[in-house]
Amino acid sequence: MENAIELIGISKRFGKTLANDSVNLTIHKGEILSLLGENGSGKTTLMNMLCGLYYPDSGTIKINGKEVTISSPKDAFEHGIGMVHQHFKLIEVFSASDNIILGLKEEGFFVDHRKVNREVKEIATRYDFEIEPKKKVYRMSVGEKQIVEIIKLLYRGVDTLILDEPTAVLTPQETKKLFNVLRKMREDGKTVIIITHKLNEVLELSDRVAILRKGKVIETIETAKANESILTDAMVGEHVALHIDRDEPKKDDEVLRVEHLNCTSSQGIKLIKDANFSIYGGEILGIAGVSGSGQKALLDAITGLRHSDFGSHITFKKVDGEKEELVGKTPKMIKHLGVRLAFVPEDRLGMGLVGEFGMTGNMLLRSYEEGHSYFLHTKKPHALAEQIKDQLHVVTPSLETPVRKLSGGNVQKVLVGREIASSPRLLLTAYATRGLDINTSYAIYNLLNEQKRKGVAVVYVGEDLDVLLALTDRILVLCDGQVTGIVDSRTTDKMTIGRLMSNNVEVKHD
Amino acid sequence: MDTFITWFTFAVVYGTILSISACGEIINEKAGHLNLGIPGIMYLSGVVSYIATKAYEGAVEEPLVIVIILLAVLSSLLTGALIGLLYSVFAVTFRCNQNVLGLSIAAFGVGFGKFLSLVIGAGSTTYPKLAHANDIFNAGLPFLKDLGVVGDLFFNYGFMTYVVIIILVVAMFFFRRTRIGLNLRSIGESPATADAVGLNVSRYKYIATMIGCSLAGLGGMIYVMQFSGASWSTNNSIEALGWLAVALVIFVSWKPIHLLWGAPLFGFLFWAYAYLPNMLSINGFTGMTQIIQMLPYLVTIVVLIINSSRKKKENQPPASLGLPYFREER
Repeated sequence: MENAIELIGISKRFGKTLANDSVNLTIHKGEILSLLGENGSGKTTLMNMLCGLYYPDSGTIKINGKEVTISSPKDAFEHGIGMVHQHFKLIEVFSASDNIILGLKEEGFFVDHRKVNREVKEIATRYDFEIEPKKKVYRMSVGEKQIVEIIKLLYRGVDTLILDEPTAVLTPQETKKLFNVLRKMREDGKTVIIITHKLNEVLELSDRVAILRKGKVIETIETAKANESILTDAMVGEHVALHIDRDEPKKDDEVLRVEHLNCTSSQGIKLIKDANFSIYGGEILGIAGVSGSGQKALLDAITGLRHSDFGSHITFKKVDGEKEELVGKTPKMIKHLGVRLAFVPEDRLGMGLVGEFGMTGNMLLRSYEEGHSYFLHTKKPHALAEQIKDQLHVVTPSLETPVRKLSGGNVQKVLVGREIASSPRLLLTAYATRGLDINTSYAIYNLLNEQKRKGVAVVYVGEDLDVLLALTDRILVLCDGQVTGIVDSRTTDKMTIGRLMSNNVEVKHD
Repeated sequence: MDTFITWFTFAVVYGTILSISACGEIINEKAGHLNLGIPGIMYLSGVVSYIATKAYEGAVEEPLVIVIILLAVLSSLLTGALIGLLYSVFAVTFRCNQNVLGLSIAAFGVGFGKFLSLVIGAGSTTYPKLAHANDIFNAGLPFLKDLGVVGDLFFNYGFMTYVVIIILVVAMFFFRRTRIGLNLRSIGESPATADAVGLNVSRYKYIATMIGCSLAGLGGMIYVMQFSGASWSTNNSIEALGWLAVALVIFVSWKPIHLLWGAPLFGFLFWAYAYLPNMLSINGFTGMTQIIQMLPYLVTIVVLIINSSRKKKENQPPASLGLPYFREER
């Protein structure tokens, strides 16, 4: 097999972290290669250097045997390399074809829309895409946008396509279509690299798989000789079975009851469709679903950040047994009712903390109403910050260092620490361990378990099914705003959850 | 009828100034620059073109038409372009806050313009009319202007009015049909996307800003040469037109071709205080001038509300308007 691209000794450093550590990788012409690795293993950084977004600190890139310098995306295009990024780089107000021809010089001063539309259609027919060249991008679904991105590359004559987590946002049907397209490209002689952390996709689609761990390529395996356990072992290093402690839940104290909850977006789209469930004190309820299935709307509705439709009921039972209706109330009203609710939102530095404040300032955000004088009471928040720093081992130069300067794990510890310190009865967490390393993740799991033991009702919205199965007591599965099932984490398996996530098969509620 | 014709012609002349300046601001904004310095650019360019033309008319016995035109036009374009360059250095290279930057340029342009006026005519607020320049810039179209009412309404303006109309049409084709226009729009919408397809974001921003500002400078020149009849006064209201031009950009939802009717409409509303009461034979309007002159801004607010409630993204400002662009940010 001919070598299309060779990466030799590529390193890239961002501040203190070594994102890629002398990586060697060979990519063959006309193959589908998977780059497999956990979050933060350096897959995307490596490919960003190939497509000209980053420039390597050291190492050489050879294309067709010749050494090249790729210092901009333009250089990459000239060498026939193009990348579809995870966050699409498309102009929302442009049509598909305007996006496709953006930045091209070859075609003269005036844009010949008719010719472009025709050529786009031709490419689409060749690879079985469905596309409307004149449709504006902001009116498109995610799948359609991805197609525009791919055609954009093909139109530029790219013969090596890099796709970063292409299936993360697609429905199973769209994924199937995408894979067919990618296979057609391979038949057509194109080279395809997909970045992924989904094992089944690697096995289903690719010819070879390169496994990255901590910025290094650990090994390259031919997919025909691989199976899930080989790949997992290579990916995580030593076999890490998830050993998260899990006590039996108590299930007699119903903290929150959600009845006929409906939410509608300002565009009139149904975000939550008639959700009914309860959360008990002393259990961890997992929430699973493809991203954007209504997880955010659900948490926002409970915390009072979003209006629920008429007829929805969210009832919170306080410690003394008194019940409070949360629908129609603002977060402040809910707090003043004595409802002890804590929320660790997905967007840590956007919604959870103020990046410019230090730890003390961020503690203050929960207690700013206390006291009667016009001046802030900083003694207690300062003490709390001190306590969290010690107990959760937050690494920070000082309590006053802006939290945005801390690493992701430390930021999350500050946030979770603050929320737990309010001694909640209901603790809502969204993607609490996203982007964190294994150790910090375990620290967070332990904190959640501790809360569960104290009788707190914990909600864990997650994306990693293994973690959901190992950590939680029950899993509520959302699909397109609908609760498709609530299953017992101890007896169910990934297949069942996967099926619930992708279609509306009714499973008996517990 | 005569009152209406006068009102109409005032509206068109004001429209000429407003539309070329607004067109300049549109080009700025399409490159992602919310340039609030337009009033200052217009003011300074106006005074520079006056000084340049005055110097030439004073120095030569028989001034040449072409030289006067070139001097006035080029000096204002160049002044605008230089301020555009200054703006770009701060906004693109140093990534300064664009609101602060724009407002300081607005203040600087007016202040420096007044200082220059002081230099050429110490102490006075009004300056002599330049007879040749006035004739040239207010000539009207030959033959067509003698067509009675039609001639008075449409063909009796200085040639810059027609040049501006052509520029607006060209600008429309530029944004809709040309590759560079498409690329430029992408810079204001999403510089990261433009960067990823290999466009030089900084270069586009620099060039677009300089061209946009030079068009605004042209607006200042038209105010001096056409509207004021080639005279200068430090009490004139160029800045007011500058702010109107910025509002006008919102009014036409960033589409240059709509300036063809939007700008004269603004002129019409602006001058309503002087002619409307007379035409309707209403008295007692004397104290209301400023209130009636507010009309264009009121209309802009209404358009803003309508546009944002229609949720059509095409009518919204460029998505990255006012934001600096960093490349290697993680």
